[in-house]
Amino acid sequence: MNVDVLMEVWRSQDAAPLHDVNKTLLHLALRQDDAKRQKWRRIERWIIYAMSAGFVAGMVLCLVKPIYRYHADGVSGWDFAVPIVGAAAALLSGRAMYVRHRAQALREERFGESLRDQLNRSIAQLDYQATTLHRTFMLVLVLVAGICPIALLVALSRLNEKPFSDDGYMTVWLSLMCVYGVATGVWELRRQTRDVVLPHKRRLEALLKEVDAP
Amino acid sequence: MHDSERDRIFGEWLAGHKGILFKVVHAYAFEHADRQDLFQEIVIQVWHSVDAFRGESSVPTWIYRVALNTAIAWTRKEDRHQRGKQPLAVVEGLLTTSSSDGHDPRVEWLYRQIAQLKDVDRSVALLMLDGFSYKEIATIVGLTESNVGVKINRIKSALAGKRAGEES
Repeated sequence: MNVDVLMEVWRSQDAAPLHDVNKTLLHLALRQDDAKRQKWRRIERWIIYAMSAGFVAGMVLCLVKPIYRYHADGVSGWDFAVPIVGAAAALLSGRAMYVRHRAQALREERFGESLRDQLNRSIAQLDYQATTLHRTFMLVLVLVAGICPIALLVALSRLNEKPFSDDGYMTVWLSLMCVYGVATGVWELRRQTRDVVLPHKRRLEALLKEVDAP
Repeated sequence: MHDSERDRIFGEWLAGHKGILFKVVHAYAFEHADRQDLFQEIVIQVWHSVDAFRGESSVPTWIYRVALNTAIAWTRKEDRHQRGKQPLAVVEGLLTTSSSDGHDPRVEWLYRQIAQLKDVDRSVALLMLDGFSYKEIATIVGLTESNVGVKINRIKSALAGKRAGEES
């Protein structure tokens, strides 16, 4: 059987397809997908609103507190400098995240529509995801390494002022919860990278090799 | 693009070229539930792709491209389904199987041979059998024309060898 015959056999399905589609269910599936996407867009929007509101509230609190203290019992330069430097750092981090996200979007746009481009785009997305997870992991570690000693020193200084009471137990309990939360978060980030992102990337790279194979 | 306009274009595409979707589904998924899932995934992607279609290629080429890209991406997603980490939300009964009247049994033989090929070669085989030129296949898959030629020759030899082996 030569190729022309094979092609003829193949095209016989156009006259008698092996399948058909239920149009009512198709309409339902499309609407379902659309509703799901819109729901996620709404959730994302509300998360951004909530984070922005939290950030603005934090900024206002940081700026109002020194003014309140100034009226109460005077204020040092540090009381103004610390929230301003903190707010500037937060704004710069936000800006850096936006620039990085935009650069990634532009990078993805440069790929075309072929299968090879699609694979390269997916690999670039996974690289970005892996880097973001790694950076989040490092940020959490740095924050914990920075905050924990300070929190511990504050807790110890308070414990020296009065006997170990309910406040002391609460401090220990909250510290343990914090360490547990951070450890769980870090474990989840590492698991995501190891079990989801990297195997997926390896499979796409194998497919890309298959495309490139002679 | 307005939703009703997208629905109209998608309806026309589906009426004229649903055979492409069936072929891709049949070549990349082998169980009934998997075919339902992959078909749903492909129609959703084709539906969303209506906005991106600029008419730079023909509609069948565009649909094949979207369907093949989705099918290849779906295989790895299916790995997650099999490990039970992502629940399926398939609209059951979306894809129906036609009665076997009028079907050439050699079509199923062809699908069995195609199933034994690697993912990318499977795409090339489908496009070759549907009469796409080397240039069109190269554009869809992202290969050079000479590389497409090499792959097609290898696929043709494999198919001919299998057929000859079974006939003898």
